[in-house]
Amino acid sequence: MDDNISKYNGEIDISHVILDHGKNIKLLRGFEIVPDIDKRYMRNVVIMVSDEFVTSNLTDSIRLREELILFTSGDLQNKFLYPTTRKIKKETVHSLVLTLPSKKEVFIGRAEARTMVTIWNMAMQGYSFSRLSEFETSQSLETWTRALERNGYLEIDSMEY
Amino acid sequence: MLLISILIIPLIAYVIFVSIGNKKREHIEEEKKEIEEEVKPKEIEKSKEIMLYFQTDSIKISAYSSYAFRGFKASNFYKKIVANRLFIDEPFHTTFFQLLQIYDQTESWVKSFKTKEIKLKIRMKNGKFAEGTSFKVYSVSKIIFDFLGNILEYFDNRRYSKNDQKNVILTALIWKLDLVIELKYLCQKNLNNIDQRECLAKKLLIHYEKNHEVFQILHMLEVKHENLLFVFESYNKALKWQREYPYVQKEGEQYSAIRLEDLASINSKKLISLDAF
Repeated sequence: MDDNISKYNGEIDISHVILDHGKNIKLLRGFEIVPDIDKRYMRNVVIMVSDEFVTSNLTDSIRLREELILFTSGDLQNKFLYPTTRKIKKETVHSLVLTLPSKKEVFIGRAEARTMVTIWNMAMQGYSFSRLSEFETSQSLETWTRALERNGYLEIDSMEY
Repeated sequence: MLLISILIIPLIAYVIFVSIGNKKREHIEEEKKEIEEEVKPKEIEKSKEIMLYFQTDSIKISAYSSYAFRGFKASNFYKKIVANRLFIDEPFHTTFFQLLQIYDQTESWVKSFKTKEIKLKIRMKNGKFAEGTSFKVYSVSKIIFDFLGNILEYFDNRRYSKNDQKNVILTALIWKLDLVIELKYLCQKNLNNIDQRECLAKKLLIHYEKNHEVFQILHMLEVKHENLLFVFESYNKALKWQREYPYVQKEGEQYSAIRLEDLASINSKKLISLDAF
């Protein structure tokens, strides 16, 4: 164990990157707060769609990203996003459908999917993933609740863009 | 003869001279004394000692031990109401103590008005998902103790009879019993709020008669009687400055029940001196 871990006080600092404004899709990044050290170690990467967690660890989040890249080439083996067709102004369009835990459905178009992947790539630059893969199993509902409260995600006004 | 007269006259003269001199001297001494007396500080008269006898024996009342509470707030209110105001008559005393015990033990919460709900779905160590909803809550016991404090403050500034004060305090505490999840098992499910409060009041006020004022005040509270608006005000004031706590609600959460049999009974009172509170 190196010294930085022993200084870690158990708190997680969360910041988010908005992947899509209209559908309220956010990428939450949890960071360790280690006093006296400038480097930020990433603890978790989560995708949240309008107050609901869709993925909760790195593996799931990366899988969702890959499904976005595949877009209509994906099939029923997908886990989060399924390709589908719908009609907008009497015209058939291809899109991905994401079913939230509350059974609400979110449709994602091709351009939206590409934008989300681009922003994901930008948001992940420059961070160390070494701690992430090591500690992501230590999370629990309580640690997340505490971190969300600490960073003001449970307040009504804090999420105004 | 002449010789005698020659001898006597000077003698007489001498005597007169001496006596005048003496008088003068006496006069001067008197004046001196007077001056000295004036200059001397007058002695202060000593006051008579008055003995006062106080009743110093401490008064003992028959009460419950305040160590029965977990938190200091409950024992503080027990001291304020029972020891300071001497509301020691039954059945108020025991019922009030039981209600304090309930609010002291409860872990219930009320959802904050200023919170957002976030649905969590998290993959745990074993690969399975844990689901929950996180939001911010107020602690019921803290709300109630602040509420009680506000009511007492209201009584301090106004003239309410002892009896009215007791009834209002008791009713206010019973009125909010429906917030205590640990007591839900006492009543039927699917009752509306008003029926549930009535049911809980009947369960707790065993020693009160059915037409007692407490039940009337409870009814007045339900219809928001204008004479009792201060109770609503006190409650809203207590809610306004409450601290919010993060909370995660999981599916199938269970609460341990508070059993009424475990609460204090009249037999467990002891003689405690008022100084010991």
